[in-house]
Amino acid sequence: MKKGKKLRSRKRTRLIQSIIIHIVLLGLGLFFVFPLVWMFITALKSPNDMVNVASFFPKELIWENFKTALTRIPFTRYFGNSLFITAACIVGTIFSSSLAAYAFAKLKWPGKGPLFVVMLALMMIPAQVIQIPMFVMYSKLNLLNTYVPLIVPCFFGVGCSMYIFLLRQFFQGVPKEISESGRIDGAGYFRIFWSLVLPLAKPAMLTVGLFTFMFTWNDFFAPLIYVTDPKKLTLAVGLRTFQTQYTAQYNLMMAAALVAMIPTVLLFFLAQKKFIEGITFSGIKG
Amino acid sequence: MKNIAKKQKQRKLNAEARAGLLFASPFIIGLVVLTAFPFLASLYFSFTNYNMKSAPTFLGLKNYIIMFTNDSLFWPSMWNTFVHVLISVPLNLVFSLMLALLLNNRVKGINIYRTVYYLPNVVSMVAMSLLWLWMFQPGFGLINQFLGPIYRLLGAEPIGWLSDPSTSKLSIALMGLWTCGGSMVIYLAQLQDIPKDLYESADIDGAGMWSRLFKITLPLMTPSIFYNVVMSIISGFQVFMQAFIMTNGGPARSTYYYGYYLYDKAFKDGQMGYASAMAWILLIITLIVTMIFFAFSKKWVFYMSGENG
Repeated sequence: MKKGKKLRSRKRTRLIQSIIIHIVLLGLGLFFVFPLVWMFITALKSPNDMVNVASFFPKELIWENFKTALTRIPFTRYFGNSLFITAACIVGTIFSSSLAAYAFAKLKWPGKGPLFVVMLALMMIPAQVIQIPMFVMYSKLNLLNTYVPLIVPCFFGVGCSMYIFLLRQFFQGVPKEISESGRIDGAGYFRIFWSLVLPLAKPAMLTVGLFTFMFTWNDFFAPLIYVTDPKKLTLAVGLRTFQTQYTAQYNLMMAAALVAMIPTVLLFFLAQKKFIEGITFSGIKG
Repeated sequence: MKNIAKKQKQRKLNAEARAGLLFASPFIIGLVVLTAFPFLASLYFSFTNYNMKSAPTFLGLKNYIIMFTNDSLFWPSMWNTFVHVLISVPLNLVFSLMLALLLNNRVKGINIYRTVYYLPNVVSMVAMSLLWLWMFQPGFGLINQFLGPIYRLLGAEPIGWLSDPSTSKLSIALMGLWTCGGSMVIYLAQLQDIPKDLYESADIDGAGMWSRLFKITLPLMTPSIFYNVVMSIISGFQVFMQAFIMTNGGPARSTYYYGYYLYDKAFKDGQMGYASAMAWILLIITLIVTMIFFAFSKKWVFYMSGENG
C-alpha cells in the first residue's frame, strides 16, 4: 500500500518535472523562432505600421513589400551570382577534399603525418593573415571583380580542413577488403578510389556539399573584398548595399533578407538530420 | 626469392607513395601557393610600408612599434575585442551547455527542439545582423517593446542597446546567443555518448542531481567544452562583420573591434604593411591564448579511454 503511494507520487513528480521542462524548452524555442516570425511580420507591414508600437500585427498585409524590395536591387542577378559561385565551390570542395582525404586515410606517402597536423593547425590561423597577401596577389593578377578568388581556392582545398577531416574519418571506416579486391582485379589506385570507394562515400560527400552550400551562400567577407562591381555582387553583399541605400526601411530590408534566406533554410529542413550529424561528428572527434 | 619479394613490395610502396602524393596534390599545391606563401608574404609585409602602388619599403619593426606606442586606435580596438571575447565566450558556453543539459532529459520531441534551436545557424550573418539591428531598435524594436512593461514598472529609461556605447558590445554578444544552437548540438551529442551505467552506479551510491552533474556529466563533457571554447575564442577575436553591418563601429567607436580596424587599414586605407603587422599580432594573441588553454587542458579535460578526442 505504502509502496504504491510512493510510486504514484514519484510518477507525479516525474510528470510535473517533464511539464516544467517542456515549458522551459518552449519558452527558449520562442527566443530562437520568434525573431524570424517577427521578421516576417515586419516584412508585411506598411511604413506607418512599422513604427506603430500599438499594433503588433500589420493592419493590412503589404505583400507588395516583397516585390518592392526585390526590384530595388537587381535581386535575380545577385541570386544567380550566388548560385553560380556556390555550385562551383561545392564541386571544387568535394573534388579537392575527397582526394586529399583518401590520401590521408588509405595511402602511405612521404610527409603524410606532418601535413595532416599542418592541415588541422590551419583551422586556428586567423583568416586575416592570409587574406591580405592574397588580396595583393589577386589584384596584381587583375583578378579582382572576377569570381576566381572566390572559387579557385576551393579546388585546392583551401579552407577545407574540416571537410578533409570529416571525409578522412569516413574513408578510414571503409574496409580494407574493398580496395584489396579491386587490386586483385588489377585496378589502379584511382580506379579503386573512383569506382569502389567513392560510391560508398556518397552520404559523407553530401554532408560536405551541404556545409559548403551554407558557408558559401552566406559568406560575406571574401565577396566583400574581392568583388565590388555592382553587377557581380553576391546576394549577401547585395543585401548589405540594400541596407546602406535604404536605411531604416526595415520592412523592405526584412523582406529582402527573408527571400535571401530561403535557400539555406529550405535546405536545412530538407537535410537537417544529415546536417546535425555532420556537426556533431566534426565537433566531437575534432 | 626473398629479394624479389622485397623488391616487389618496394615497387608497390613506391607506386602507393606516388598515388598518395598525386591524390593529395591539389591540397598540397593549395597549401604551398595559397596558404604558406601568403603566410610568409604577410610576415614580410608586416616589416614594410606597402600601399600596393609602389614596391614595399623595408621598415624593420617600425609598424609594430608605432602600433604599440603611437596609434590612437590600436589599444581601444584591442580593448573592445577583449571585452567582446570576455562577454561572449562565457555567455555562449553557459547558455549552450544549459540548453544541451535540458534537452538531454529524455523529453519527447527532442529532435524538433534541437532542429528549432539550431535553425538560426543557417541564417547568414548579414540577414541576422539586419534582423537584430531592427530587434534592438530602441523605439520600435521587438526587444524594447517586449521589455516595455518592465521599464514602466521600474520607471526606468528604455535601454539603448546598439545605440548606447555602454551596452553596444553586450548587445552584439547577446545576438551571438541566437546561434548558440551550434555548440549545443555538439554538447548534446557528447551527452548522449555518456554510458548510462555510470549514472546507475551513481544512483546506487545515492548521488544527488548536482553531484551527478558535477562529478559525472560535466567532467565527461570537458573534451567538447574545450573544443567549443577554443574555437569560440578564436572566432571571437576576429569579430568584425556584426559591427560592420550594424553599428559601423560606433557609437563612439565602442564596437570598433580589432578586426574592424584591421579591415579599415587594409581595404580602406590600403596600408597593407601595417595591416599585415596587425594580422600577425592577432595571430600571436590567438596562439598564446590557445596554447594556454592547451597547457591547462591536461588538468581539466577528461578523455575516456579508447577515445582519442
